[in-house]
Amino acid sequence: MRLFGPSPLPLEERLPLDAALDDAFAPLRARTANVGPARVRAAVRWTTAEPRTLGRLGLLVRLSELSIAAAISAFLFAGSVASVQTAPPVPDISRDAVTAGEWMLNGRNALQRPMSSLATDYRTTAGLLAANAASARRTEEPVTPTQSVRDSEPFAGRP
Amino acid sequence: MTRQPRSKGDGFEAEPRGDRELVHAARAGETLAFDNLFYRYRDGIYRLGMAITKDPSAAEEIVVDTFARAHRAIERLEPDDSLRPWLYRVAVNLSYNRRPRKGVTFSSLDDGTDDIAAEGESPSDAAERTERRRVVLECVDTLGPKHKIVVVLHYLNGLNLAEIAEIVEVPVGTVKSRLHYALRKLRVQLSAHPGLDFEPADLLATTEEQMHGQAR
Repeated sequence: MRLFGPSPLPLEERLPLDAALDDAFAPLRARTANVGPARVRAAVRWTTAEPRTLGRLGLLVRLSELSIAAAISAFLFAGSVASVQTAPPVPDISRDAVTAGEWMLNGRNALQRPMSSLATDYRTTAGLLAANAASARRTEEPVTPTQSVRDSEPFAGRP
Repeated sequence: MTRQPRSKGDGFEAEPRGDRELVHAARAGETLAFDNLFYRYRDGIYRLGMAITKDPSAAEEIVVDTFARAHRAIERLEPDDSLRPWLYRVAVNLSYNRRPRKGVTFSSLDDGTDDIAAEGESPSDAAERTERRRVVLECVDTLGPKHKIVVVLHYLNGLNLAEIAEIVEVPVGTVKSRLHYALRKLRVQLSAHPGLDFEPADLLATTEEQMHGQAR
């Protein structure tokens, strides 16, 4: 009597099983792998490729590259910071015309200085307009009015 | 790197050296020694990978990965350790990592060559033999992984119980027990097929009881 463990298969049951399993695995047992050791060496070389150690010259080149990169980065950063700091404050004139200083939007959505009716010198303005008109006229040829006399006309030259 | 002169083609030597000598030579940088180890165990590992993954390309990758690991670990291997269980252990782990997912089915393990009738065998006998093999392999596939690996290593790779115990890292008694229950389950399943010559025995009840008892 067995107290522990499974009872073994009887021999008359075990032998057909062994034969069936041997026969079932026979085609697989006849197969061979189509790989060679060169593929293993290639796999080993591929997975263990490590970066080369840097020599003195390589280290110097790498340091110079890093310093140039750092300098360019610092220059770009400083330029961007300076441009942000020197940008003139642009008042939001459209929203707060009172606090925008002397500029405000007119009806055509253009900036103009506010006009005070008390401080406006209309004569000066009229004088400036006249001066502009005179300078514009001066650029042209002076036109002298000439009176043409037609001989054929009767009573020509009569007072 | 030293190379020994080849006595035959294909990298085989006249007097085959043991694993230990080959491992020592491979450690010393002898390429031919590692090649000999590769050719010695390549096919066994390939068949093991095929039996578990059922994919020829995956089995070839398992062979390559197993020997790539061996190449990297050859400096760390103890000289007295046998290489074969180590290689098979790595191959088993790699195979179970690459086994097909559920729903992914590959074609049959055989490549159709066993459908051809052998000399003195009728085509009907050949077809019957092929069908019998298919049924047996399907029954093996229904086993659990622990039982299946023992059956595959024993019947496909021809390893004895001690070697299997070293590979799966369990005591020999556990391997024996697993093989026993695997065979009992196979016996029950195969007896359900009327075309096979397995007498329907009254093993079903006792096997189930014993397996449940072991699980408890």
